[in-house]
Amino acid sequence: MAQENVMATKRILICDDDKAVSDFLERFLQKEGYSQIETVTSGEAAVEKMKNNNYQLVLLDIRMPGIDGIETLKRIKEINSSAAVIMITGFPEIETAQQAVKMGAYDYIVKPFDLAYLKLVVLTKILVDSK
Amino acid sequence: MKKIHLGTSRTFGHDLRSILASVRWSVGLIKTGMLGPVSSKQKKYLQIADDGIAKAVELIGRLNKVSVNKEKNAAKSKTK
Repeated sequence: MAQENVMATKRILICDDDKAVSDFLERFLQKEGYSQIETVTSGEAAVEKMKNNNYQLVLLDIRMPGIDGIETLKRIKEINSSAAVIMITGFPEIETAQQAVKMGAYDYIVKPFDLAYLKLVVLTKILVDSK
Repeated sequence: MKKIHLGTSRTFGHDLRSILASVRWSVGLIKTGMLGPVSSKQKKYLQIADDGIAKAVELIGRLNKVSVNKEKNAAKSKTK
């Protein structure tokens, strides 16, 4: 399958309580060729979405009101262990990064990260999974 | 009291980085010309904005380090 077709079929969920961030990332990824993107602004909403949908990739903020990103990651992995979860944070801590990776996070990136890096990480994961 | 202060610093740092992320990404997209042609004069001003964002991010990073160090020192003095 051509790269563009693979990108168009993959479902991505963005979870960040800062709507400006989630909206921006949604538009950016759409511009890059991903057409099946949904956004939520809380961990609870992300977990609900995961129960009813098969997302291949999740961009998940760590610090959020209600259940935080780490707890959300745990619940997401219980629902769909094969979903790739990229943790995004505004407060970098080695301990949290290690914890997230131990719990199955695919990557851990710090705001304001380079969009070119995000593009690369998402594309690599999606292409590897489609092989 | 220290815990409240630390929590606030972390939250501020996180929230500021989130705000700066959308500003940086927006400036970056305009600068690359993806949203339309940008004159060299406009590029200069966008570069100034970009440099300001980078400095602000660096400052937040330093503040975060201070918060973490304070937390570690507080934990050390508790165990003594």
